[in-house]
Amino acid sequence: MATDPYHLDRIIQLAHLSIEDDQKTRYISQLGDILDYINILNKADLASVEPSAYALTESPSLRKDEISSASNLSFIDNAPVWEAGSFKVPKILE
Amino acid sequence: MKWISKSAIELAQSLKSRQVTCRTVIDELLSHIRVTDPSVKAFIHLHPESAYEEADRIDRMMDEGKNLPPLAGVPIAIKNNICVKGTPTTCASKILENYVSCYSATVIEKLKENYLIPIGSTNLDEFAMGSSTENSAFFPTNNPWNLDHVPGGSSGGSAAAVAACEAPLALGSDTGGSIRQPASFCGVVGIKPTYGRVSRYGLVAFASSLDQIGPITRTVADAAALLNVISGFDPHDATSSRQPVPDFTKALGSDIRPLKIGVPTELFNAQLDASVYEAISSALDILRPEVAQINQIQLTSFQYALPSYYIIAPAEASANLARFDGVRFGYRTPNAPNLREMYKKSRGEGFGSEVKRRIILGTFVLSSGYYDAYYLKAQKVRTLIQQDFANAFSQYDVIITPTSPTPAFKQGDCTDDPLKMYLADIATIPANLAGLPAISIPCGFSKEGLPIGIQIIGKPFDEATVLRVASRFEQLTPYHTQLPKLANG
Repeated sequence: MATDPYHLDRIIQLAHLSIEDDQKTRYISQLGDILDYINILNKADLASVEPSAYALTESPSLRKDEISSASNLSFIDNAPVWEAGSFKVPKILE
Repeated sequence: MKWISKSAIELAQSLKSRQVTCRTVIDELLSHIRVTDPSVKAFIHLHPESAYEEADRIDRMMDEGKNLPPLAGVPIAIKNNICVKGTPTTCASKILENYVSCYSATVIEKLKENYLIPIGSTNLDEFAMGSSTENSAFFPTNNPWNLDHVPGGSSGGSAAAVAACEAPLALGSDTGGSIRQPASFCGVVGIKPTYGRVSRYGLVAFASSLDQIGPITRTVADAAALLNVISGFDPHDATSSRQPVPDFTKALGSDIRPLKIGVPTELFNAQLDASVYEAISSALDILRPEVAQINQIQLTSFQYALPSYYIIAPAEASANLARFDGVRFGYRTPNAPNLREMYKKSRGEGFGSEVKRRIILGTFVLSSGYYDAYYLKAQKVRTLIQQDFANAFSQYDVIITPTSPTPAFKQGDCTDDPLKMYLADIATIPANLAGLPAISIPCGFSKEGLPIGIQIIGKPFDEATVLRVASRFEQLTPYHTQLPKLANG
């Protein structure tokens, strides 16, 4: 469960987050309350119910995967570090 | 305050007849904002230069006698999770504090095609996660009716701006009630359209199967007119619908006598504040002689809506927010020796507490060993809720509930108890899970003078009937004509 320190650390790692220890303690207690509340769902009779990913039944309108206006996108301006035509990041291995 | 306290439709008529110019309206609006917004704090950014430029362009066209669309020249505030090209789209998050949009959302393009004037971007709970606008990384917004109280959320900036006459119109987004609940808290009108009615292209995604953009206004007619502008199919959003878009303003004022209204008993329970119970009961008494029937109904799946929402929404959020990693845009920590640390620290330092809590919850419910116990179960509950609504709508035309179980609560009352905050959305979440259109309109005040809202939920793509009932209620009551004292400058 996300409500004990070992599992919380594992979830934090999966989510690529860094969280201070005092905040972890608070999260453990708050997530415990939230999961307790969510467990109301165990009372629901769902044996013969199909899951729904979306609310409505209309099929998605897919278009051709073609570039239309990428030349206007000034994504470089928002890049934290842009160098030699690439997004530069720190080294992968120390 | 000669012009900006008018409804958007009245203002548009005054502009069209040249009783006033767009420039004068922008002047008056910005002067008013300078006086009131230091108290309300609805706006994150204002865009006076582009607003004046657009105002002058529209004035020239109007002076030349050009026939422009119905809302031409009317200023509008935009929730700051909707992209406006060349302006910061922060989502009220440190991680996007310096992000400048390189394209405009489809709704913004539609506003421009209809000659509306975006005047600024409004505050919100970070990434639209919250019910009070206290989760903004920049500052909390205050309720114009009582500055010690929250404006609701997450579109609290938009609702507060409209209530304080800092904008006649605003756009919000609604994932679990984020348009309707702040509309209720601020005494204004807010409508979440049917899922797919309005394109989500350019809305920063929170929970993609639930998010919808919608209008926040002071009158039902203004909401209908703005919905006309922003609705319709968009090839950039695969979930936008090809359903025909009627003229929503035509539905207003027509007879509601044939209509049947269902009122779910599940929401009239111990959690409902006495003032809300009283206001909703009075509202139903006002509507009773106007319609064919008002009957109590049971929607037993409602009790499962909130817990399933707090599985589905965080699950989708944890996936959607994975893109904020410090690589291509947004905040990057200066203190990372390697790539993995850069991801973790950029996200850890960039996201606020509530956003991290939801990412953790979402990652947990999707993680190996827990998927069936949580996520799959919640998706089944979504089916159950849809079936319950479908059964109810086979007998009733609309369903009426309180919008929120309480009037606006005090700043800080729920900040340490996320579950208490989540319960503020208990009445609004079912419409998101079922993708249904739903409006909140003012229906009274608490003893403390805080507004109370009533919610009208309709069948899929039947916003017209929702607006029709709302409009009739508005004709019979004075609440929409009342403004907070602060709105008078």
